[in-house]
Amino acid sequence: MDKLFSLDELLQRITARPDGNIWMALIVAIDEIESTLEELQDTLEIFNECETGTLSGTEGALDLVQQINQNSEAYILLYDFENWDSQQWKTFDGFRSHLDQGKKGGFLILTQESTRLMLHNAPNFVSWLGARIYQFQKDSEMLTQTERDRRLNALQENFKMSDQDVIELAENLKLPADPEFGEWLILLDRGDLLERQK
Amino acid sequence: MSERLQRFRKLMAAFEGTSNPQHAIERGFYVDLPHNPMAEITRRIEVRPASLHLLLGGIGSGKTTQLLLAQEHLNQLEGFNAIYVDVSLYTDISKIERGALIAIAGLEIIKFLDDKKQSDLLLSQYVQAVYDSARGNKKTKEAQFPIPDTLKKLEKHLEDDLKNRIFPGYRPEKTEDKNKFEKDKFQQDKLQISQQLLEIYKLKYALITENKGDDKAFNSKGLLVSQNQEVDNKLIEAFSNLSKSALEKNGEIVFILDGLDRLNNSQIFIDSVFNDVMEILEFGVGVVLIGSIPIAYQKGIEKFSSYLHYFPYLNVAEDAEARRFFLNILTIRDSDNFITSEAKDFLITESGSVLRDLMSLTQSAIEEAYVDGSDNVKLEHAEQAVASFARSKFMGLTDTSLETLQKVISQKTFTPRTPEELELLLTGHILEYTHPRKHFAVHPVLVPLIQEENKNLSVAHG
Repeated sequence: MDKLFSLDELLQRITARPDGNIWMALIVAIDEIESTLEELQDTLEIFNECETGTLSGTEGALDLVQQINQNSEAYILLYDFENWDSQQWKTFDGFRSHLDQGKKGGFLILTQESTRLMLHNAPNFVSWLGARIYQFQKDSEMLTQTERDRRLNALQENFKMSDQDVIELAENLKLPADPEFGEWLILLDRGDLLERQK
Repeated sequence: MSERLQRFRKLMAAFEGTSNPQHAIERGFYVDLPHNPMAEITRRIEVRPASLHLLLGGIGSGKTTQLLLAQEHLNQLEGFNAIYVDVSLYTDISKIERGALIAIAGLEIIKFLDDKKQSDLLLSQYVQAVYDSARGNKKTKEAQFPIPDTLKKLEKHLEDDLKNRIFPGYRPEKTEDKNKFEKDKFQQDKLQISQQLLEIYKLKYALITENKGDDKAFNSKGLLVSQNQEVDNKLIEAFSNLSKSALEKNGEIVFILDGLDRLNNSQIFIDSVFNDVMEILEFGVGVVLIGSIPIAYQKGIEKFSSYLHYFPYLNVAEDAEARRFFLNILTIRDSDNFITSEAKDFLITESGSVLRDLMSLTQSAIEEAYVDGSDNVKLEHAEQAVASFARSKFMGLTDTSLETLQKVISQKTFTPRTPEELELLLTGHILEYTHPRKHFAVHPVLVPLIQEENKNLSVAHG
């Protein structure tokens, strides 16, 4: 389990992945589930180049699996696992094959407690996650000015572009799909341009 | 998308370990598995088709791949029909009840019946039996366990879907010709209808199994059997008709039942799954089914020892052939040699010989190399991938589990008895090897973390 300090870092990892049945889990504080979900859905739609759906597990595992079967979006964010007990996770684990819809897989947003229950009761699904369980430390998201400048310099060097070049590409809706460009705009405080890429 | 990102995505896609393994076989990624128990099973089936084989193996060991290859092999033999079924696509495995496997097997056999007239007749009888079974169970217990609104809505949705399939674009005022067409369509779609009915059945069944208190059981053939068998007898009778017809017309039938290794309640496995499988065997149909490793430690399993086969993890630490096999897997998928030999060697060792872990670790190492800005996957990226994987695997371990793991590291022995110890085996925290002899080891990615934890505890306790 890796600690992530920003959603951009997560975004970079998600978009580096190929199309395929790839699942990830993100552990957040219970009061940050909703905001994380919204932020992820908005950003992923742009950089994953696909429709992203959100499915709630509040009605239990069976209901969630049925929602997955009926879902048309290529990528899905699953949340609301907080009222699941051991049996719900066992049911979810038994239905693992339904999660492979021949699309892009998805994402689980969990709390510490729901992660613990998942690890003990859904070993088959957990084997799909492998190392892709991340803990998001939102309070640490802000970079210092030095860290920010260092990262911007690295991006400029890597892509042989200036900050202005990237802003112009985004304004003209020609921003490449590489995840670093999303991170770049956010570092420049131009997250508003990401919205326009939809 | 940049050329670099495309290149990394392509490489990561080659190490996809969570999709249908058939895709990897089709892409030419399959490498022959050494010491393969499926080879023995298929040979036994060739000489005795109506036999039972229970294959026990750990999560991510490559069982499904082997089952698919066995199906392909058997189907190439004259007079053999091997049917692969992922049971979890039909029913809630965690609550599987007796009758469910028979219902599923019957629906699969229907696909083999090529005499349309007979097929229709048997199908209608079978669907009726499945539906009666669902309704019969519902009558006895629904009063105590009313169907929740969500399930009712789902049932309504399925029924609406059925109507649409049977009468696409149906309007009462249409001409007779149109109605004739719809009638034919009805015949064509019966198979799909039966599957939909089974969905309804299984949802009710799953609900009904919440209460088992009033369902008295007795012992028969070493299995716990419910006294309330009336509804199941209808299914068995219908299955008998189906299998008889299929065996006469199509030759030998062998079911390869996958997904049952996700049933972690060993007692339900023995009582419910075996019960159905024994019934299926009675009608001359062979069965290969998958079970999880803890089943081997369940009291009562010895009665079935003649059917047991083990699918152990290979041992890359002590078996040169196993190590070559793992290296071949990496080489065939990394055709452009982006992963250095040091990184490959490290990934193989740290996988603990678990195939899915090798795939997962390699994908993570490729991702680390991408994020790092590197053009190759180097040892440092493999080390980062292993460290992340170890932290994920370490998470959620209780003090008791940590003590058990520490004992396995220091004493190199393990006799799983408690549910918590069996869970460590199931989750792959402890791995069972048979080469060069049967022994257990802690997953290699965990060893440094556990030793560090132990050191910290020693310091804390003076």
